[in-house]
Amino acid sequence: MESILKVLNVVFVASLAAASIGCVIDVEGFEATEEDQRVFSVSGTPDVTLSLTARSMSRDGIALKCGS
Amino acid sequence: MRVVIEKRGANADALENIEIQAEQSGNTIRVAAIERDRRGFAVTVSISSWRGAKLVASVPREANIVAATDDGSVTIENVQGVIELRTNDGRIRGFGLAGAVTAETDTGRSTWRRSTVASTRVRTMGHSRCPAG
Repeated sequence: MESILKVLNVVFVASLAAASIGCVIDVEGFEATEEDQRVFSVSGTPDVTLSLTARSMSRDGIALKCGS
Repeated sequence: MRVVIEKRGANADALENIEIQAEQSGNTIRVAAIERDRRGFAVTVSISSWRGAKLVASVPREANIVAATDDGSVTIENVQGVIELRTNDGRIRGFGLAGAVTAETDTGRSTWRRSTVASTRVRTMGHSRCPAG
């Protein structure tokens, strides 16, 4: 029983260590975010221009989907 | 039509430097996220100066689109019309498109699925895929 507890303890400590390393290298954890929403009323086919010149170092960019 | 703009930065100052411009004239809509000070960022690339933005637009099924980003990806789904997509350094993905599509990416990849387009022009230094289906 004692040996099982020791093994579990080692696994737990190892998991904590891995999680700690993840926190240290995870830049996402330092981010501040701000969300803004704009709604436009259109009738017929709109001409839409979206541009993003804020330099994006993430995988994010522009996403368009059929909605409203 | 709804556009959600998410600004991201290392701190509140970084968010302040991302300016959102949105205007509508009739059925012509323009939304832009720009950096107020690109000089400082170009010189110093570090966690403290990190910033970026993401635009998510829900548009009608029929819409003419121009979407351009300096450094991010462009994804577009289920839209029919004249579509122009540009990114310098990101990936372009199109799903369920119809109409005339122009896509340009300097170093990114492009992927197209379930699209029936009258004309396409794709320019990429990366890999381009048009999987069946």
